[in-house]
Amino acid sequence: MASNTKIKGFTLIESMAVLFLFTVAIVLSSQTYNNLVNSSVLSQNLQLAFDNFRFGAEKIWNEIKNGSNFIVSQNSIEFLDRNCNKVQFYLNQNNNIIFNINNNETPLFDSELVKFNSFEIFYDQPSGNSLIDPYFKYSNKIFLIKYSVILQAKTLNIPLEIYQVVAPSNSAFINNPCQ
Amino acid sequence: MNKAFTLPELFISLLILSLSLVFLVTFSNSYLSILNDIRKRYLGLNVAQAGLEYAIALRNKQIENNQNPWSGVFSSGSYCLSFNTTTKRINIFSSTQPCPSEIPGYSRLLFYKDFENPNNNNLNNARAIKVISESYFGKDKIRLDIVLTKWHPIQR
Repeated sequence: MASNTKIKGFTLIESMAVLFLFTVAIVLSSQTYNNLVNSSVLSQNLQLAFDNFRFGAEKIWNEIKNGSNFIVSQNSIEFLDRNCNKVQFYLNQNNNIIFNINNNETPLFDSELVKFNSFEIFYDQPSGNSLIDPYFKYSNKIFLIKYSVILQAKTLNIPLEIYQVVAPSNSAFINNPCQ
Repeated sequence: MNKAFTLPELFISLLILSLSLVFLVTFSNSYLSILNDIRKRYLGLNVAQAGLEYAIALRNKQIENNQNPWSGVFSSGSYCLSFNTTTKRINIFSSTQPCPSEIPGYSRLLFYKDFENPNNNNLNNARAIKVISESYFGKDKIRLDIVLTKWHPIQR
């Protein structure tokens, strides 16, 4: 006895439509996921580069803040630190700042993360006398440091230009507390 | 009779799918946006800190010259301080509006007032002064302050 129940399946067009929509959804999701992963990696690298710059710049700020006997040129500064060690910061040929303490040199920044375009130091001039020049002094009162760097995050390089100002603590009266 | 999906069911499922995609895209963009905010605030912090350093340097210069430590700030109020890289001097002038800083897009204003007696407007004889440095960038601002004494800590 023949059954008159008709089992209805999907037509070819229905199956094609479902497959098409499924493919579109998969492509969109994977693109979004890729973007998410890429931006996560990029921001992690940028954060690393930024932190590396920040820590290095703070090191320079702290050392100058507690320094004395400053000898300054446009992209180098030499002085005695709080323990009377001879310290120098300067820009080398590999576009990195070198921290030299008692003739032991260490690069201050990770070259893969931070690349220096320029490192300039501006300072007040200790000259004149108290009667005619209000800037008469024994030591520098202020340093303005200009950092021009590239933060390197593998696929993206971000330029950063920042100024840091330091008024050394030992800048009134005495220039050489280590004597 | 096999029942197919109704229009509201389809609409809701598509809405959920779209929302999840939008959420993922927004989430991926917010990483970089947060990082950009950190960079802006770091620059703003440096601008505000620079203001305090100028105030310290100005005080130290005056003490060394045996002059009134509050050079150019004889009355409480708001001032602009900056360093002129050509003349190699710190400039100070009274202002009610923030002045441009070293970094384009960032401005700064400093407020001086007597620390012991905030109602005293004449700072000539003040023993200690509270200096507030504010940096402004976009809609944000960063505020730092310091108390400066009329003597230097290492003064002999």
